[in-house]
Amino acid sequence: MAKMIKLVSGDGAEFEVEEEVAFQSKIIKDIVADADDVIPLPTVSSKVLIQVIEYCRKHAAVNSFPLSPSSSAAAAASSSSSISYSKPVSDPALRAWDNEFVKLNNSSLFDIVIAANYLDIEELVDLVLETVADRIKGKQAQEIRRQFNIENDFTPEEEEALRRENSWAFQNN
Amino acid sequence: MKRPSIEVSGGGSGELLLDEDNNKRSRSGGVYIEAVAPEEEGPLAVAELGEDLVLEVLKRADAWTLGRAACVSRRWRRLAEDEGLWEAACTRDWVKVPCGKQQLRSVVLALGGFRRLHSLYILPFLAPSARRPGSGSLALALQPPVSGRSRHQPRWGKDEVQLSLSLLSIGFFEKMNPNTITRRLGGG
Repeated sequence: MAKMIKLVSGDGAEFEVEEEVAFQSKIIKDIVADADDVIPLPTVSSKVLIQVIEYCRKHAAVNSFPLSPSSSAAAAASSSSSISYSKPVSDPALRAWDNEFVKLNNSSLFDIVIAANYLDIEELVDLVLETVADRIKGKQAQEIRRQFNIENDFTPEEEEALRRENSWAFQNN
Repeated sequence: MKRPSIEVSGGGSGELLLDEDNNKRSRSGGVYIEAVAPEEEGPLAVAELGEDLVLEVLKRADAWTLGRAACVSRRWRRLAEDEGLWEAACTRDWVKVPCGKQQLRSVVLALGGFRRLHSLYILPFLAPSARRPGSGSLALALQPPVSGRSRHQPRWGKDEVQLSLSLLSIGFFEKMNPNTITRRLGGG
């Protein structure tokens, strides 16, 4: 029987997950090393925690039971390397799963990346950041503001000057 | 968990679907599935992405995105003009960096920085179709195949890189105060 770890979300819900699933989070791995099996996560809501656990479960399964020798080699290589982005997930089936996973609105994605950052789940942070970067690609400044809920704090003159300076970036598709 | 399979619209016409009713999504307990189109937003519902994470997002952005990002807000401008991001945006498309990264960085920063390098000595030399982000498929088809993420800028070989760097140096020295130069040379 696999060892179970209990995660407690910010709003008090408890989730029991297998150790290897929970260990996708480096933070949790360290805490458990100090012999603590119940881990409170006050800053993570249930909704977000469920999604994070889903991701971890999928990736733990792939990492332990590689579908092919090449994907296991890639998994081993990626787990030993230091932080580097654009580290593509080699297994196409897993990549497809990841792409489905991130089909969420920005609000949910931000919640997930904040939680994954807190829990130190490198691949999930990377995945969401890549997704967000893709979403702002090709967008005008006003659309970026809308997506991120940012207030335009430039004066009209400043904005005009900036647009002129960066006019090359605004050529429409 | 079932999720609605909806196409995420990337670049191109980039139409945002706005939630007209300003729906506030409350966080009730238990599991519920958000069946929303990926880019639908209620203005009140977006969590605040800290500066660190915004910086991380911009690290993965291309030069065009950085240019637009600088126009979003004061804080974004400060982040988008960070030299580190521009270094990544420039060198990403170089087949080979001509010298050690640290050395390149010191030299380019001393001569005016990567952002300046890009706007004055990289951008003007990009092929016209490469300069327009999201060119039509015909234009892209005429370019040599480009692998990976740089859909817009073709990979630069050693010669192009050297040319830009040389021009950057020349531009820097041209701007130097001629009086300083003659004083130094003549006055001893």
